[in-house]
Amino acid sequence: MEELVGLHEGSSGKPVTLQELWGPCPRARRSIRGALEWVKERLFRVGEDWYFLMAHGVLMALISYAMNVAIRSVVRAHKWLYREIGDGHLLRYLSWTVYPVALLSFSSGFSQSITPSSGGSGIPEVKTILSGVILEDYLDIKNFGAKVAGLSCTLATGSTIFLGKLGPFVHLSVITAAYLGHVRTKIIGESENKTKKMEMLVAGAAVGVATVFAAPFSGVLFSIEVMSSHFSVWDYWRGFFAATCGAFMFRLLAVFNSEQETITSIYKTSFRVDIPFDLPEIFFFVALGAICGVLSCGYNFCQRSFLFFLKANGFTSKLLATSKPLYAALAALVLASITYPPGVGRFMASRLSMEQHLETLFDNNSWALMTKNSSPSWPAEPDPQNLWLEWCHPQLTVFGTLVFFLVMKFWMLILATTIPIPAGYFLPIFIYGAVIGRLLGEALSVAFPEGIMVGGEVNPIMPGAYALAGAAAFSGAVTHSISTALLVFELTGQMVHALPVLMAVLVANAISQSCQPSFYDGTIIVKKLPYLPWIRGRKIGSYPVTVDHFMNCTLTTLAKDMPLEEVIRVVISTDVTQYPLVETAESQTLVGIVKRNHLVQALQMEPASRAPGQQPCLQDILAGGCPIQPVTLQLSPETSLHETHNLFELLNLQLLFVTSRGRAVGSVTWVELKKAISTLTNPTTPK
Amino acid sequence: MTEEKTFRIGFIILGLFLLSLGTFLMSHDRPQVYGTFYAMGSVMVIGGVIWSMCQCYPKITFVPADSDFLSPKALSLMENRLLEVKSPQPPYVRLWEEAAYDQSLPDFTHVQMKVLGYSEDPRPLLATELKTGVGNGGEGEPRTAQAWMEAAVVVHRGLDENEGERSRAQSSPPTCSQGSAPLASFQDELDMGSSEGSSPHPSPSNRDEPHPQVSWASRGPLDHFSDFALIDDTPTSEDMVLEGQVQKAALSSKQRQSLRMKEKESVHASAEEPEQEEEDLYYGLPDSPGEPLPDKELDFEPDAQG
Repeated sequence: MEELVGLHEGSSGKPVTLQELWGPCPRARRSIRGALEWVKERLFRVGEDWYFLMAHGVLMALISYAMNVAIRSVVRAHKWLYREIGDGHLLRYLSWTVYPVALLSFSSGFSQSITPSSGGSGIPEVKTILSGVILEDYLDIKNFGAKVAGLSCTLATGSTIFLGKLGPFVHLSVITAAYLGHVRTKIIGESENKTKKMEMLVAGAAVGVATVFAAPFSGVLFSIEVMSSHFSVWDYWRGFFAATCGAFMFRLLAVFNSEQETITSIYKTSFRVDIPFDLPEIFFFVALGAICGVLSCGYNFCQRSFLFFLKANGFTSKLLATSKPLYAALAALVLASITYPPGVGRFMASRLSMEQHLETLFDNNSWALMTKNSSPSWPAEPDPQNLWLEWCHPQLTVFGTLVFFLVMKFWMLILATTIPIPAGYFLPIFIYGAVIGRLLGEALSVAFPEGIMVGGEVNPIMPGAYALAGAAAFSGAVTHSISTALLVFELTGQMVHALPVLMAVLVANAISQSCQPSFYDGTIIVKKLPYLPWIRGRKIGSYPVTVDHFMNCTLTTLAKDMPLEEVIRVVISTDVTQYPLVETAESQTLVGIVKRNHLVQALQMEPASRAPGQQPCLQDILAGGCPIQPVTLQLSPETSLHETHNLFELLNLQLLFVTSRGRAVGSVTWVELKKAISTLTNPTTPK
Repeated sequence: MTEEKTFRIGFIILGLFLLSLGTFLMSHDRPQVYGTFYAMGSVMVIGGVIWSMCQCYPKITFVPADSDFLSPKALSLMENRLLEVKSPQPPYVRLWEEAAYDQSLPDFTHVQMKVLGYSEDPRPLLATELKTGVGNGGEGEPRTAQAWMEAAVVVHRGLDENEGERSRAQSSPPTCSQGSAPLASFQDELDMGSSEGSSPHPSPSNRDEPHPQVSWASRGPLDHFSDFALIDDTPTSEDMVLEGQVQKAALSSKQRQSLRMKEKESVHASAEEPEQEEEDLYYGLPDSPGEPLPDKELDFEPDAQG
């Protein structure tokens, strides 16, 4: 930034910009500025990153907690309304359904009007950004308000719509990280550094996941697994530090608000610690993992097919294109009508909120055994001490309720994921997996009422442990991650089932990773985001592919001895942003890169009148003040596809030129890489 | 400058957020909790407001005129303009007192000074057509300003300009996908993004170049620009882009005009396209059903079809 500077008369020292000279109260400003510099020098001795990471974690925790507080009040208000409205069926139905319809249409309309790409989970886009591709305006600060408002409205609908918080919160966290990165650059005073910016974004992603669940370990690991293709250990410390600050602040705020006495886990369980499970139960845990894996393949496949169907169907695609709030309202109406408690919702425990679902599912008693002979009546309100009674229906019994829940929520969740609102899709699949596990656990406890090892101590089977394993396995299989096992333990605070849960998660992942892309990869596919799939280890014959098979050979080069008219013709007829500069037109030796806007500027500055007979060429323009960037990294036509892919991902590159013996022969960008990989994965069959 | 504005506003909003959160956390047996929140929130709000208020100072821009010296009419015009600006004392007098220049500075009496009101975003005076294609008003002004700039001015080149350019050596391919597949665009800090309006975009690199290169003013008897001594901290490198801007701009060549027009068209066209594509996308899916779908779907399935 060029500025004019000057000095106060009679003052020595560093010249300051004219704006600073002429501002009001310059002496006060100078003293304040001096004080700030002194503070900065003292504080930033340990490195300035840590302060910003801490600020980031604390800020995200504050935002998350504030959202929870707001949502809780709204939900309480709605419950009060539903209770006070009396017994008239129509009025109760209206109060049950109009609430989510109104919230979702507002959420959809508001967030779409501010930024059209704000719908859905933000994790696929963050994944693309962290792999080096630059998505315009995705990290703009105006997306922040849209997503916060939209997300709060979505969450306020609770278990009626059955969506969570994770995805958009990660996006919010990355937006804040980018913003704090700019603040940091401004305060430090250094130039914009791409690697530093990427560091902040990676830490931001980790903080987002960690603050949602107040779980630093699994937060960082989950963000690594789901959102990074390359993760450097340098970012590890930063992620953990920021995530710990965030999680700590989040739990501390709950204590401040007198909700809890001290910092504890969110869902408390009371599993037996000394003998939590018998050895043969491990087999059932592994079987549960396999079931979850298969179901997750089905879920991913159906969800993607439904998205394609919506796009292909004329009516829905037109509806979604023209009026997204209407679609959201219709979907909310369908979902709310089904979960209406006096109706079908009775069989799905629809009066419980999402947290209450998890609380009851992790319960350590066996419901089937407890309700075997008695059939409790359905209370008018869920009993806070015995919330699990919501799951018990006199005719259907516990099994019927659980199975009905599984069947209905499968398609309802898929429908909910297509609504164009900012919503997270992790918590619903977490709960879904817990229900699968609970079902298996209840079945086992009915089959083996005394526990499996007979003739010794009686260790009854705890279905709650199976719910834990099922939640971890299903959510891990859908998102292709293993850290959900750790997440389950951080949420409940109990590690006794570590090994069986981990085995279940591994088995589920093994099945689902070999059959289907993960949920977020599926969204990348559907949205056609510019993210390159990994190619190592897949049998697609990628190893012999080299750069000259897929590079872009049509390269417009500018030679130094090119006459100006030709230069202008080339510049007008093409619209690339950078031109490779070669020595002469015959040798094509790459010597540098010229940016288009600099070149155009220099061409405009050039004086019209020249000595006649003297042919101006590009060299004169360049000498007159057009900057040439050096070429620091070049590809050779023999570079393999793997190396190129690695380079692009590791260094966050956008464009590389290919030279052979000095001659510029082509260029490679993400477009060419993507084309190369997609031709490898679906080879065109020759007729 | 625009990003500083977002920082200021963000600071104030953060303070308000802390205040509201403190209100929610109100509990009588723990007053220190909401006390802390209130204290921090109010400090941030007050600090942010004071910081914003301190940004009010007049921006002086330079409009040379071919008429004679600094006429009394021009002086009174200046003073009238200046008095509109919020300031406790007559700012012009104060400016003359406080910001003093070297006595050896050249004489500026043949130029006319024009003072703008309070504005956050000073218009780049000497930017070329490309940069003023953002839609800032007064495109005629820079042209006349350029026409009148007679001598070379050595300007202070900030440190970040050099580093920014070097670090962006490898950046941004041009691929604005013109085809049917609505890939998000790969472009980063291009001036194409600038046509989306001068919203406070927190990416500083976008605004780095068209930033205020202006606002110098005449200060007393000064002859011409060449003696305008500016202290340059950094060694000037060989790429003096901005120095070239101040040179005589001959704008008469038809080729250059056509080049400029084409530039503007391509800038606007390619910037509008990603916006259009974004609006057409529902949740990422384009409208037209004739998209090459199976190509992408099979991307991730293993080669187990054969």
